Amino acid sequence: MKQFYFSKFDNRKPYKAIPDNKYRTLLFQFFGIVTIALGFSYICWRWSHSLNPDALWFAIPLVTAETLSYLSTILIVINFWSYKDAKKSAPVHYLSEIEDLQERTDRPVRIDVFIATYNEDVELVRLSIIDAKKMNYPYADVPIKIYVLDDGRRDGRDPNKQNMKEVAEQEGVGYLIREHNEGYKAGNLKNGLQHTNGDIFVILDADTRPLPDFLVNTSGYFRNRKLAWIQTPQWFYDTTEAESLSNVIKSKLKVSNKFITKPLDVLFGKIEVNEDIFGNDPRLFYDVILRKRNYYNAAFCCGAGSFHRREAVMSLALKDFAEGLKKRHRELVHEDAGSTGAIQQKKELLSHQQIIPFKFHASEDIYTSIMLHADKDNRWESLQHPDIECKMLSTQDLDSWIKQHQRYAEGSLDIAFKDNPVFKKGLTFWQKVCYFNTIWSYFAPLWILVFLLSPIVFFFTLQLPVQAYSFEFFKYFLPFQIMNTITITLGAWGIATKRGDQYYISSFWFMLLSLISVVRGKKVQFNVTPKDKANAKNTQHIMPHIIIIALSLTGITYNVILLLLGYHPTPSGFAANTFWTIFNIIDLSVMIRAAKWKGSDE
Amino acid sequence: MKDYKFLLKPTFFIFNLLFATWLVLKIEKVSPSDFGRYEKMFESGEIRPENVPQYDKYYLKKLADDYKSGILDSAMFDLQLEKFIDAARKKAVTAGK
Repeated sequence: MKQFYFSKFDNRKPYKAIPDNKYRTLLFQFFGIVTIALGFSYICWRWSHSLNPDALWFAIPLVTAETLSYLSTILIVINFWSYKDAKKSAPVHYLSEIEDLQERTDRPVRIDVFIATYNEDVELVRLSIIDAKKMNYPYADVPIKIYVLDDGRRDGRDPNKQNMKEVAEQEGVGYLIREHNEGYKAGNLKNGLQHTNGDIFVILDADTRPLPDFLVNTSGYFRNRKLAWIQTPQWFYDTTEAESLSNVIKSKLKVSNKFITKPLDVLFGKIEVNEDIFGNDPRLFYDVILRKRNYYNAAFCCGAGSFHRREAVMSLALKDFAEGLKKRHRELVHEDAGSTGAIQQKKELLSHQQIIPFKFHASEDIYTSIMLHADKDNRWESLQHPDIECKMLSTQDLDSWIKQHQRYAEGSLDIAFKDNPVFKKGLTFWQKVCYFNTIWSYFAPLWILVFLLSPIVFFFTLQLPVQAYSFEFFKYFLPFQIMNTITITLGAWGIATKRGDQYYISSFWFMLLSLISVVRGKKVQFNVTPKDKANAKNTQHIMPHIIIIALSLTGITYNVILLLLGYHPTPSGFAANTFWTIFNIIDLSVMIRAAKWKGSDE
Repeated sequence: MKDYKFLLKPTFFIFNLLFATWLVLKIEKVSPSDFGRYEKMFESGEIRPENVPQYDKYYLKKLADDYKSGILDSAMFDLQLEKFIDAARKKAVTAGK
């Protein structure tokens, strides 16, 4: 069998979900409310008493950025408010356990497993098929059918392509293709659903390898007849391992002399760096952000590792189909009902109307989730399952990572501009707040950019955005910041947030480009995320970071000279901005390190 | 007791809101002298000069204006004030002799 770079990680064990604790939740809620109150007081003071009248051009953008960021803080507190895990129950056996039979005879439930692929290495897909075949289920009469949904049409017709069909046949699983790529992954799933008949179905990506108890641990949730889908956490088991700083220095400097290496080991041996250098670990997202949305019935589907009720997606698709038909019919009647041409056109248009279970969109998963949550007739529910039930591969170079996250950003922003969930009828108030939170997070580069540039503006203009970094300023600012840190720590208890925080800041550039692209009306592209190391040029992604760091360091140097000469008007302003800019540099540098990262084995 | 258990959460949140409001109001009233490093600069009889000449008043006003507009930061403001008060005290002692 082919050896992949990730084979060495096969023995990694998944993390355990954070156990819910009602006292910790109450403590979080207490601190959350105090944080919001202190933040409100700080923002009010900033707008009313702190603006430097001589530099309003600088003061107003900064205070606006702070206000927008404060809104994010409120949304985080709302999102983190409480866990609401569903009760686990035994796997389902008969259809009557999950659906009203409506005069049909009862039978064992049918389960399908879809493995969606496009251009991934067929041997990689084989690993996912093998693991899917190993999935346990306690009832032998429940048919579990596995299908490879190959949008790359690798059925042997093109000798230049690998033969996916052959692999599927060798493994004894179904193989489904279509002759076009309309709707990308959503279209591929639509094709799969058209040719299968599972009552519930699992969606896996080409690199998603289910753990043996995936079905056993999740199918029981479908006893709740309102439950449309379950999302399981996506666990990237191939993230980069931590290295000791002394080893990194030794390899960079290429030193082997023990008189140099020994002191390095003593000094830096215990400091670890480069763990998950690409910030791929999505634990904070799945174990906290999405899992806590169960509280509002607002956890959305993220594609791979999700388990769906066919009835839910098909009822939505049929509803859309009927509404689409009605709309087109009305249009044609309005145009010219009588003419022969119009009748012919009507027939053609009606025949082109499709049943689309998953919305044809670059972010088909979240878009379909919004539509299902907004279905007033059925009031579908969703669930984020806390435990890991499958393992996946992460992106292995910065360029791929950025392209993947750019697609998430552009997809979500595109939904916000074209079919904003905030104005969607059928969603509850809190569901709207949660979806707004997701969209709002993609506007973050607007205020992050201001935060990154503010110290630089100060260093070169010596103008303060506040009247003074006085006691007044810190008495409002520090309690809010300290309380905010405590609140986030409690909310994300047990999960390291350092890397996530760094990427939140250092992602500003590509997020800004995504925002601009969507605002300009550019079509969102669906690109398949490569999971192997590509030799892409990363410099374009980190050039803004390098410029900001260079300007910051130059600014600090210039201000130090002014201080030494005794010309600096505000030493406290210099101290505050230097402190601030050091944080910025640390955060920005992670992406530069990721761009230069070549892996420990190279 | 079990019948009133439903009151626990609302009570907790009411207390929570009251505490948050109290904290905000308390912080608004906090001043540097609350931390004990400085005596109350404008209220302590000992260091306050009895008669402040007019030109000193202008100087004091200028200091306050500079601080307000950001020309002086709080540390520089404190330093200048201390210098001013020291000078005023020396002047008062000399005048007393």
